[in-house]
Amino acid sequence: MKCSEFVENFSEFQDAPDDSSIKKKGEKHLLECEKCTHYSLVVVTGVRILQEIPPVELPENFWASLEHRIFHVRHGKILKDSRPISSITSFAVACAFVLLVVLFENSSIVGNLKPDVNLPAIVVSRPSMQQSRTPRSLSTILGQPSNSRFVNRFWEDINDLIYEYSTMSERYRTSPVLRQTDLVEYK
Amino acid sequence: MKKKLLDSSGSPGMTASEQRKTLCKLEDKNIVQLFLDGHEYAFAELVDRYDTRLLNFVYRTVGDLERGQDLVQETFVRVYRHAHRFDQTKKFSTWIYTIAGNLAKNELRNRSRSPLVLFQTIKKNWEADHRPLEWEDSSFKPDDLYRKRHLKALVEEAVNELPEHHRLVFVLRELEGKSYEDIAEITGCRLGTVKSRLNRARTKFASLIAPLLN
Repeated sequence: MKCSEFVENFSEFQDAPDDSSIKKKGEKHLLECEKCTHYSLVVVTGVRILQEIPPVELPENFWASLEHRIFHVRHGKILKDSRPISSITSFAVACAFVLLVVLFENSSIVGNLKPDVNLPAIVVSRPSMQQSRTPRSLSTILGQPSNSRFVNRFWEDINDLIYEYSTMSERYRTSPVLRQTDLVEYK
Repeated sequence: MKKKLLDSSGSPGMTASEQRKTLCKLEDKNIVQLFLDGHEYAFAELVDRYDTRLLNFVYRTVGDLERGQDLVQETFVRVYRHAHRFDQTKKFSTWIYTIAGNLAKNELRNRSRSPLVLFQTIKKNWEADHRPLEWEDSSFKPDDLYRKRHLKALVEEAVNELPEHHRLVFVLRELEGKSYEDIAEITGCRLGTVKSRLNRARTKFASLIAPLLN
């Protein structure tokens, strides 16, 4: 047996029964080869050390935790078992809902169900005219009397127009106050 | 708590100790049958038989104790849920190890997708560094003690360094003492694959620990 062959079949040699041919062949090779003996020794010693390591212990809460999980599984099973009844109920509820929707959607049925209500017509009056904005007409400001209704309205429109395009300071300018002074005589 | 689970739904007219005595004599598959017949206390007996063994197996495979505990619990939950699927012509131990092994494999796969540095590995070193000085046995020299402890840690580390598939086979064979046939069933591989994986695992293991032993 060559060394490569021994290493290749080491597992079979190691785990084979004592009276098997591969075991005998392997043992014969080990007597001849120091290198393979060392290899075999390393594996066996390593495994022995590994087996000597004390096993890990279960934590104290292992059972409590497991029981908790099992409880949930059991609870889930119970719920699952009771599901057929609940599914029938839910199916019945769904059917009833669909029936109601169909009833109300169907106009012929709904038409028969509608009550006759005659309400008097509501007459809405025309909205009142908005009051004109505060600016007074130029003629009023200047103290010029207006002659006709047309001119008045015209001027009012013009004043509105001027108001719209006037600056803020002009809009809120206080009306002129007549004061009599010694210097100028106001007509 | 264990007692509580055992007593929770015992058979009428039997005390907990009597139940235990009866169950101890039974084989795994008979206990599974009892559980399937509605005797919940039989499940506690199954947990009692396999909890530590599975924890060690999963811990050696995954390398994380806390995660190992979670996975063992998940294994028992799956057994509880799917006990009716167990083929009673086969070994229960193979079945439960298959579940645990698959969970461990999934864990390793998920970890390889999102690699994280495990706190456990950092913590392990931290604990070793910060452990207070103590002599466990006066007959041993501190040097020997330290050397032994260190060697064990390194050998354990060597197992963790084995590739995932090889490690699973190696742990099942060397630590759990499973036969090749059982390993093939647990891992879902052919017998030839198991043999070659085990051989590679041993060669790799030898190469890792040889410098330490020398």
